Amino acid sequence: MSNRDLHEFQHDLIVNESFIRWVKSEFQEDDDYWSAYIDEHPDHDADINAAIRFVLSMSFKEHSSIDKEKLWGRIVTSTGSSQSNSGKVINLRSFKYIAAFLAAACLLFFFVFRFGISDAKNINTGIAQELTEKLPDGSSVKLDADTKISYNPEKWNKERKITLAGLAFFEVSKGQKFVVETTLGSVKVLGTSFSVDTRDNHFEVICKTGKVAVMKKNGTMDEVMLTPGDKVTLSAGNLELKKAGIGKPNEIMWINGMYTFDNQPLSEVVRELERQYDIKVKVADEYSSLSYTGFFRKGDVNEALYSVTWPLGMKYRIDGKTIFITK
Amino acid sequence: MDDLQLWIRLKKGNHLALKEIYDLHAGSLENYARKFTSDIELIEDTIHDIFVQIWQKKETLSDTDCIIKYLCVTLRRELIRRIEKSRKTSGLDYIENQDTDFDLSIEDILIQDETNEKNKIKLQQSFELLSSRQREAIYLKYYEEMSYEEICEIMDINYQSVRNLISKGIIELRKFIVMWFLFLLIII
Repeated sequence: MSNRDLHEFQHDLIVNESFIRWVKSEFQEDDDYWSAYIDEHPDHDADINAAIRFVLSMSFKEHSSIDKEKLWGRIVTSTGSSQSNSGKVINLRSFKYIAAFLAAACLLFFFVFRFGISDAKNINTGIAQELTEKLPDGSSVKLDADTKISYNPEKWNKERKITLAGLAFFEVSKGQKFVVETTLGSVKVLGTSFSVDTRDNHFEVICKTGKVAVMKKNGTMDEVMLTPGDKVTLSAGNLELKKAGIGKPNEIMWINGMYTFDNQPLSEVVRELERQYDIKVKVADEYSSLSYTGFFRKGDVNEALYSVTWPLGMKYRIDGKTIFITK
Repeated sequence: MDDLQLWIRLKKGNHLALKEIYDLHAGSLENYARKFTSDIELIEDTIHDIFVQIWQKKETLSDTDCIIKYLCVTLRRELIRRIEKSRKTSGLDYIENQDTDFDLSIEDILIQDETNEKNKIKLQQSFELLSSRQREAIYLKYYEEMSYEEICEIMDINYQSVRNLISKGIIELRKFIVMWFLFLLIII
């Protein structure tokens, strides 16, 4: 195919509505169609990948200069929120309900006071400690060492807000706005997973899934949107929000049919091999925890086995659909 | 809660529904409005007026199953009307691209060569070289993920025009990327 034809091939993908939807939905929507399409066009892997990357990179920097809360206040004033259920007549029946409600409220208050109203819940980890805290809505926070978080469990279903000092990984279940506040910036999401690092006067956010909005906290309402694999850093000396699309290569490498490992046990590598190729791999127990750093590709099982065994000084033997890995 | 249900609640006079719609879409509306003007006060006032109008006319609103599209159509119409009006009174001719601050930048466009290396290039200038209508169409397609039909409705142009805007815009962008990349190669 000529160079021009290749560009047209990529172009047709990039402007294709279904293709855009498929890429932006993290390959969920219309996946049946596009997976089949990839299989039917094996020579065009590189072009398809290029088109995917292009669509993924069409993420725009968001600047929020409006104080949305204040603007809502203006709207409320102009629309007179008390008019919502206009013209309800209060009758005796209503009084009964109101009285019952007040009684129940008093009882509730009494119980809450009796057993204590918890305000902020503080969780700390010390040196070389690690802790995962489950939040009331199913979200979770994993705290690394020397990290402190604070949130209000009682108010959680009204407002999901956590204060953080240290390093933590958040997995947020879908729902209303979830906010992480730190001294240097804040992070806002709806349902996603991401990591936040605030140690040593540093502020760094890496987005794993979903979309994450990060704001720095020094008066301006600068906001940056992260998509999977993106990282944003803010250093104390330089209060600039830099956006680097680093993130872990694993997230996107699979599109190229490449599976990477960084100091991981051989047993994990073997599991992935078995998942990508229709084979059973047998490794002696003494070797299954050998540390492997490297990768293997989909497509050629011999090459893949070689990629895994050679760096470890091992060899493999194929017997039908079973592979034996030995020293 | 889907859009249709939320809209019906609004029409019935539920003020909370108005707040929900605001919380869901005010950000997108601001973002979209910034494609037309950098006048923050104008944007705030327009969004404010739209929500107040919706509330005041709630009983007579037609049904919709896509609220953001409805809001975009309304916002676009209102903004253009007000911008035109202020231009008339200030005596300026309406020239496309003038006075707009397209705060858009394509972050991290990745180009991969045969050795699988990633090169990150910031292309804010390149995006601003597109026409304002191309930018608007591309923003609606790739960021708001609107369908071609929805963009037709919002921009009030026909299907073929939308396709042309986006197609030409993408071709230009990719040309700029290659040129920028080559430029970098030369100067490095």
